Amino acid sequence: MKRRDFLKLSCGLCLSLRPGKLCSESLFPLNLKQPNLSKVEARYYEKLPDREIKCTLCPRYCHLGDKERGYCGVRENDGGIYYTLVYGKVCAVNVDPIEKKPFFHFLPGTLAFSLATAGCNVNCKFCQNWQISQVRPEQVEAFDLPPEAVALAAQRNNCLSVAYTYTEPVIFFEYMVDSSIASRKRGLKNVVVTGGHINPEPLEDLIKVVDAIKVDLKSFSEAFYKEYVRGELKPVLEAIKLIHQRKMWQEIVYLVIPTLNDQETMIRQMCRWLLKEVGPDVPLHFSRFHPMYLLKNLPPTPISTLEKLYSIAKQEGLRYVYIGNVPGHKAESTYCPFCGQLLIERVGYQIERIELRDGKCRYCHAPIPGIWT
Amino acid sequence: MSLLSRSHSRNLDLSQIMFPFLLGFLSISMQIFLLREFLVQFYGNEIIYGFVLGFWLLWGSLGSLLASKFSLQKKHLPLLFEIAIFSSLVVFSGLRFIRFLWGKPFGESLGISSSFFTALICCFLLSFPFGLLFFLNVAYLKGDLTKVYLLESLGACLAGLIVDLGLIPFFTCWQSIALLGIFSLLLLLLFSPNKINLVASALISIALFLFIIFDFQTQKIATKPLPLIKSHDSPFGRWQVVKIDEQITLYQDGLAAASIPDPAEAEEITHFALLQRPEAKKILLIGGGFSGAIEEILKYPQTSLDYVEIDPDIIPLLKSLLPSEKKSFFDSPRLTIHHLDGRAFLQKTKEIFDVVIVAIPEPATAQLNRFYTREFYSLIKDRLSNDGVVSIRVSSAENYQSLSLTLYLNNIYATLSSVFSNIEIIPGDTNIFLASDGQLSINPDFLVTNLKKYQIETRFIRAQTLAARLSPLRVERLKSKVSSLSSSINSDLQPKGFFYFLIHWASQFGLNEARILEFFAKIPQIFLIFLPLLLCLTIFFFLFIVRGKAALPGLPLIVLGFTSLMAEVLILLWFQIRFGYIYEKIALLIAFFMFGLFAGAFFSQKFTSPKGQSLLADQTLILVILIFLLILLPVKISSFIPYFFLFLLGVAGGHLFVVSNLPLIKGGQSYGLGYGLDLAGSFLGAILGSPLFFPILGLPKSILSLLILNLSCLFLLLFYRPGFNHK
Ligand code: SF4
Repeated sequence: MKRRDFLKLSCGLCLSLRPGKLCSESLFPLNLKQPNLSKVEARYYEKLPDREIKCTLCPRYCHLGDKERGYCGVRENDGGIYYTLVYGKVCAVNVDPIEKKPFFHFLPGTLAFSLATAGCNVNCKFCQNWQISQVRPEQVEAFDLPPEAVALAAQRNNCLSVAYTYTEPVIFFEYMVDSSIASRKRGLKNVVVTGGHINPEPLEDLIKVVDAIKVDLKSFSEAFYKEYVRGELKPVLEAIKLIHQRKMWQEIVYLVIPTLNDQETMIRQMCRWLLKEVGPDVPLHFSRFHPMYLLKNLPPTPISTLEKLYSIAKQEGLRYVYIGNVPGHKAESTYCPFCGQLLIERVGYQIERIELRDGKCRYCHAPIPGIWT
Repeated sequence: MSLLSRSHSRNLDLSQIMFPFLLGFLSISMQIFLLREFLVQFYGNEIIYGFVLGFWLLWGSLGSLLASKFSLQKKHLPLLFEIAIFSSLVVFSGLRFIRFLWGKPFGESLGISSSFFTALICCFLLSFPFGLLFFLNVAYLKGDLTKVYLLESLGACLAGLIVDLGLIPFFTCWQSIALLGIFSLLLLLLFSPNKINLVASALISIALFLFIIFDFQTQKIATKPLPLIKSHDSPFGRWQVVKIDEQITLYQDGLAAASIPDPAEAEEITHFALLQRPEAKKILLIGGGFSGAIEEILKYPQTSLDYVEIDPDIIPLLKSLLPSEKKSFFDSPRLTIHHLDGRAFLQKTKEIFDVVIVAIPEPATAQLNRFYTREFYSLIKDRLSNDGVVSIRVSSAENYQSLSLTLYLNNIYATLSSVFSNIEIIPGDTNIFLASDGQLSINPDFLVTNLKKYQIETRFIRAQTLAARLSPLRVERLKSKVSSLSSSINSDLQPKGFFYFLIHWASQFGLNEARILEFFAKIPQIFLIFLPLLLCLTIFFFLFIVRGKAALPGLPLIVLGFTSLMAEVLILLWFQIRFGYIYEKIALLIAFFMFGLFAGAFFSQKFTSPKGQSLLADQTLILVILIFLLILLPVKISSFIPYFFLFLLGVAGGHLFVVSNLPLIKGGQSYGLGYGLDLAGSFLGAILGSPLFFPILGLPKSILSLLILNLSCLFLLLFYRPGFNHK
């Protein structure tokens, strides 16, 4: 190095160390906004003495003192009145194909205006949306989208339905119900993507205003629910039964996680239970697991495992069994359970062709359950 | 006076040489293997490294500081060695089954608190006895600390070389631990047969043999319920293979690296970039070839592919596992494999590529951050054709990007933008950044047209999935979110990318990332620059309260510990930035530093200048090293310079250690005090250095901070010099 270079370099270094830059803020371009929280009274809770309350929305029945928050982190007791903090405070919005939820027997080939607020009442270790589900509402960037605006935005984006999804919509129950009513008025349908942790009474009310519910059945074992979901299986099964009894359109998704919930005997038991309680027409989707969140280190589900479980469900008598997250797999499509013909051909989230006529098989005219128009 | 002709030479007892040597040898080799094993169990990143190294030094320091409080006698020395070897058995077998202890299934991240406490306990079990042993060794040699330090450094220096070049390439971690243990027991038996407990030694030896026999079996138990079919330790880490049905999954250091077949992954890595330039002839793939990416790239008929994979063991391993139709790709005449560091390859090659696909793990460490800096992207640009495309893939979130994730992605975006004129980002659970000076398009129609035109058969990247993934709303929103912040860029000398990544990683475990970021944003840099000085003075202050003026020589030791650890890590990083990670050379670099310590301690016997002057000279030498380091940091250097710097740093450190320890010992203080203070300083260096100072201050200001610390120490020494002239 020449002397001049050396001097230049030294000057450069001195400049780079200049005191004007000695502030970390420039390195962390933060734009932390004030938390955007709502204060709308919750609809399911009991007032107790001493300004305490008991939330009756989900099976956790949080019993809270003044200024305390529920397990889901989005409801707060203020002076004996229970408030939801996320009413109209949306943190994720997208326009997705309805097949992505997935709903396969519900307006195929249409778009769903999908939204979520922060928070969740369970803690799945494989959550895809942990950044919004496993945090408090103050920790996310949320914007205002009142129920009427939801309906309007859905229409503007050519969606035929609004999907309450990504996190657990039960925790934004009031907002979901009001948005569903507003959307219905505009001729839109409403679909709910839930883990099924909801008490019967609010569920009954929800059923009155929505059109379809997809339940994520995460396992058929209480032990799994306890360990990986921090929830319970029993209330989920109760919810599935109730949805069926009220004749609400329902689809079940089962995310197959290798070695954790893919035991063949358990799947067989689950299929038998579904057959007995909900009947053979409930669509059952076996979804391929992609390593996520705290279970990032597990392998993805081998396609052969999904195929094995698919055969078990079919053997047990379920009519509409699907394999999800494997684009182009033949088990993504709907076949007539009576004549075996291909009725809805799907690849990924796209519909290639539909051979249904007025909700019936084009070939043998058997009615195919679902909401088709 | 030479080493062997000192006062004890009349009754030459080889055990006096062997014990300190064995201490240095065992402690460094155990430390290396502990870090490696920890990496496998806790998916190492800079925070985890900080925990392990920090607690190692802290417990070592406490061991030697507190040794005088235990009624230890010289005869306990061999016994303590036996305990240390036994502890290693406990630690390494405990680590293997650690997830059971924390009640976690295989595949679940263990999290920050569990790694913190595991590191705390493991380091206590291993490093605390070594701290005690230092004290006892000095007592055994009747206070001849110089000799102990000299031999300990020599042991450490040899351990580094033997472990890196003789053990790791040929044996698994458990086998190496067993060999080290048996070797040490034999030495003990040879040199002090009367003092070691033979029954205990025999039992430990049997347990060590079991380590060798049951290595794979225990791994199988630890990975249950996933069926482990193979495990292989290469110099670059541990490869484990799990097989479920027809699918094999490769784990690299406990992290799932790839599953085969997993076309979703392989297609994702390759096609977004290749569809931009479907007629590209020269493709470069850096890492990630074992995921099926090679097969995907070779689907484009005219391409020739250069694949850079640092670990030469992975291809033979894969070949032994794959069905013949899958492994034939590795023998394609269109494929050339280079076993090199990605950066080293780019510096070496003269070829020009049309597409460069970077499939390197995310920047979880300062070392990996080298693949996400402006300098690295510039290096790629130099080797790209005019409208060539580079593709980088990082984890993300499909529906919502949190603050820390946005900052992380923004940093990558800003860094790429500083080198390339066009950037596109593919949304999804992973984001693919495409960068080029030519045109880019991620319009689904464009991609699908090319797929059809060039008859590329894919399963996941296809018209039916692309439309949803690349919906204009998602693409636009992600891009505007990621490009909206005015983040400064990630560079070699200001390695910020890994810091964002780590905060994002930490947020999975429930930490409030916004709070953490806010906290760091509010720390004035000037405070950080002076923080080492403040911390060292605080430790010294407490020492001063307890021991008065006699504690003065302790200050340079604390400063030395801090400086040498941080400077050593910095020089190693600097080497890798300039020349790439070269396994043997890194081992050699560390050995140079250790040898420097030995040489420094050795010189201290030769030169009998007044102690105060020697200290001043050492302190000045360290300052000079730091100044030159600061000057040379941004320039091209010859590869011998980092060796030279490390050696000099070692010499100054070794010499300073001895000369400031002598007055402490002669002043009637504990034999372990100086060693303890040195390690306490190193502890601070380990937890502050790469996890905090490098990303927040950057390398030049980190050196500035060290300069201020050492300059202040020099002034204090000048002021209090008379205090050192103990006779
Ligand atoms: S909805 Fe929330 S507050 Fe109410 S019971 Fe469930 S977890 Fe508790």
